[in-house]
Amino acid sequence: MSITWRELIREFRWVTYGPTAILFGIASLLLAVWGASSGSASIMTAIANFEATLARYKENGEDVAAALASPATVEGDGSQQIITNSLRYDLDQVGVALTQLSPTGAACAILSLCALLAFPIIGFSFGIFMSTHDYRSGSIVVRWPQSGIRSFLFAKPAALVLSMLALAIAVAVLSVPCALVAEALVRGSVSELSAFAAPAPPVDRVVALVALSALTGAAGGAVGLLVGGLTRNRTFTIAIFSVVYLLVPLVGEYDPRNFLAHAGSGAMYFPGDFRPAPLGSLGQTPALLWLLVFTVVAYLLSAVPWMVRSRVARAG
Amino acid sequence: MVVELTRLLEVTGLRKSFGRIRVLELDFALEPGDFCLLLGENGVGKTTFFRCLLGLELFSGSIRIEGGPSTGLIHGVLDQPMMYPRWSVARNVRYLLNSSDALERPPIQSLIGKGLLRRRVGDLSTGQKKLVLLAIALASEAPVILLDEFANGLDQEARSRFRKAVQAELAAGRRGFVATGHDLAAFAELPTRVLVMKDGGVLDVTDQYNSGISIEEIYEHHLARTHQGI
Repeated sequence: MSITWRELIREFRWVTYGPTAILFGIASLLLAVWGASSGSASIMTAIANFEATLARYKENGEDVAAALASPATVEGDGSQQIITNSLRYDLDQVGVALTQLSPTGAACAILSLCALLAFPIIGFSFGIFMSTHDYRSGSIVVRWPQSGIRSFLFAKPAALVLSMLALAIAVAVLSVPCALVAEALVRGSVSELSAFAAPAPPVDRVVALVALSALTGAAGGAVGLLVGGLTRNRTFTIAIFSVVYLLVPLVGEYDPRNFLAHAGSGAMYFPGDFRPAPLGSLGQTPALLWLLVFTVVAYLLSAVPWMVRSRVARAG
Repeated sequence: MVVELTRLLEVTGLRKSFGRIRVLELDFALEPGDFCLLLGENGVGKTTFFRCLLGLELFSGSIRIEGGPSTGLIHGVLDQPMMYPRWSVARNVRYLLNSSDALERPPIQSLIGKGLLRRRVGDLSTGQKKLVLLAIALASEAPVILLDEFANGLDQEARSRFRKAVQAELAAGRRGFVATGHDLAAFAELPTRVLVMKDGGVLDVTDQYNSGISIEEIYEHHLARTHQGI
């Protein structure tokens, strides 16, 4: 076995020997539960909206059967929409929301949230720890001379990408039993409307979202590897990145966060009220390419601090 | 026919500076079966020399092992934390040796007891941690082993066991050791060569050592000359 592959195995030893693997397991379970609970909430909201509209139709003496039999139309963009036949529209929204109780619908919904909101931050944090663990523990004194620079610099991003892929798969798999539990909990409220459920997303959409989630996690991880190599600081950098990522508005079309929304525009699945709209008209393929280039450049840059600075503290 | 002899470790033109201060400027060689003791005051550059050999510092010059690159062929035990304090000793051993059969290797079995393997590194004494690192160094496949202040924290029994293990390695003639330390009694009869580091270079005093002068006397003599500015 080559030194490079041995270093990759060593990096996974770090993942499994320390708390990282357990934290990943807990994170995937929490994300799946979050997906099921937010899915259930969005279903109940959609049903409540439908029932309110139905009550208004009845109060006004309108023909409910005719309204439900004819399609709804929506005009305008996300900022201002004109909906005709709101009763049918609300019923359609219930139908779409109900797909979150299906295995593929649940997986697609939570993976879309993960790809946009959770995985970049998880990836960044993971990247920070991955770029600092052997330096801070002092194990680099043994590891670096064994691996050499190329194997060392290959092992970290490779382990990071594979770990993010494993996390995405774990979230997708765990979302299925969580959806079953959610279905059991809301069954009484949805039973009459379950016949109107829209077709669930196909499995290949789940696969696409797993890949997209892993990519967004890897992009965040690449930034984490770079920042961790430069600062060797953990808590402060993770806190700052999380705040900036979630709270600072998009600065423009070429904000890396906007690449995520564009890159997933064909695959992301938001059946509830949360439907983030990407800025500009970048398009999915250019956004995916930008995201890939951004990730690769960040990985390459993360090698620079390791090459040009001392790898151990100079005290003593 | 010309036969080119390659040395186990050959350091040529090694130069290291911190800012404008030149810390190291030396050539160095080591043969299989050598135990080279490096003497010198604090701050003279012994640990920096080891860090350069391990590739942990930037430097100019070349480091060759048996005529080739040194990657994977030098193992060092520095006088600093080198393990994950929250992991067990067994996990640290597997991680540092990067092998699933690491615990079955003879130096691990002879120097580290089973009870110690199960304990968290953070709960060990300084001496126990050092003994674990020394066992890992001997269990590695590296032909060159660097020992920085190896005896710090080790009790007499642990020193004796480790010296016996090193003597067995030296007798086998496959490996070379470079060691530093201020507790000179800990080295006992191990050194085959003695060098003194001064002004970034090395001075070979093996002849004095072989003539029967003790390491302590050699070092005291060197210190006296240094203080006289000679």
